[in-house]
Amino acid sequence: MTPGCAPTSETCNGVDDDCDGVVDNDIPPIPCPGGGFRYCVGGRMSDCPTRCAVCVPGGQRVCFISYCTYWGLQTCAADGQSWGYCVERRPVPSACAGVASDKKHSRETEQCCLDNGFCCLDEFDLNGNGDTSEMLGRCGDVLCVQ
Amino acid sequence: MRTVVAATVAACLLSAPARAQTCGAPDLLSAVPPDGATLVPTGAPVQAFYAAAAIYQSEPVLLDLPDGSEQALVGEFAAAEGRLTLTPPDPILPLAVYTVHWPELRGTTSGGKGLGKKVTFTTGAGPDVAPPSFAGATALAWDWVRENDDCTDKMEDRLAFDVSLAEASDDGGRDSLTLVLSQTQGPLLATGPRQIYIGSMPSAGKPAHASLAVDSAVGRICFAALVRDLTDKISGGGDREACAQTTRPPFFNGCAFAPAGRGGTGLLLGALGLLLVCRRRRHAR
Repeated sequence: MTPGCAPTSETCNGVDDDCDGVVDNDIPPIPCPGGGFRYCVGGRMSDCPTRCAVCVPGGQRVCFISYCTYWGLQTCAADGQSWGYCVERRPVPSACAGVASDKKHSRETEQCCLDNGFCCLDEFDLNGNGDTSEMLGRCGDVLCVQ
Repeated sequence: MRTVVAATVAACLLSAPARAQTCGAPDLLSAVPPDGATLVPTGAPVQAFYAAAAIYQSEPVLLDLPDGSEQALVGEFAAAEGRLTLTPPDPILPLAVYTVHWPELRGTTSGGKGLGKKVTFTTGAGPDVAPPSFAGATALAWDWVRENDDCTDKMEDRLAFDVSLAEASDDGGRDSLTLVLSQTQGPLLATGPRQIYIGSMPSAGKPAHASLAVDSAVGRICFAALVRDLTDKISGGGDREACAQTTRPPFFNGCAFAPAGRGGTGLLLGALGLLLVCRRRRHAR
């Protein structure tokens, strides 16, 4: 017991509330919804751990829609955690206008997207890895803002 | 005098900065326990930490048992930490050798798989019953870093921090500890301390590294650390902060030294300027 100390229950505040000579001890971690815990550090409870963004906020990728121009754009949300709706883009870039018109919603249209340096949703699994939700081409990739 | 300038420039170029956080590839970053660990407690799960881009789609985790057989198991993934936990269905035997084949995972945006790892460890005599012992962060050194960001392919200014740590121990062995490093003070910390590293412990006596974007790393910056064992029991030490006052990096995109008008004074001043720019390792508590 610390002399002159009036013990109270220990809380996360950077103070030795229970007068045992140790600051902020025995404060249990708080489980987080996405896994991990909040911990008492520096006299405060930490935020829950967060993972990297899945895309660069404001970034865009080409997506393919089965109507109209067969060519659309998705925009990365401001928090970088998700892609927005696939929105029709008109006109299709000239290099792919013919392919999109003839082949419509097709592997060929996606291939044209890749060949012309866009960031493209791999809807037709052109790299054969079984993943049709990934991005291919010239993409900004994941941005870890820390 | 030219020698002085050349030596200064060389020193600047050779002072390799800490690497900024990589991104994109869903690689396994560390495993707890690490390969070759001993005294791993029985009855505890084992864990691997993957890069933030990793996603887990129930890829099997293979466990080689001491009798030579192999089990294909499904782990539990905590996406926020990138932590894949394997809890063997049968009790882990004391004083036995196990091998875990941590899987290669896909990423949220990348097509190919990242790196997995084969980890062999030896168990100790019993379970982990006591919380770890750790006195937290002890000192902080920092440095300016300018490097190409693989994610955006742009030059980026960052501040690299080395956080010195007190000795850590646990009845499950030091190898079974996970370090949780948090930034406790600095700009952009609106709601509370931010966990910036969760993973295996650095080697004994080595600091933990952190690399922060300039906007979140200039001013009074503090870190705190604690450790947790494989059963999620935590140490003390989180109240102890290691702090430093940092400044914006003085990087410039290019310059030329004009011939000195009076002797080598210009070259000397240039060399001194470079020395200031290249000053490394600022320590503070």
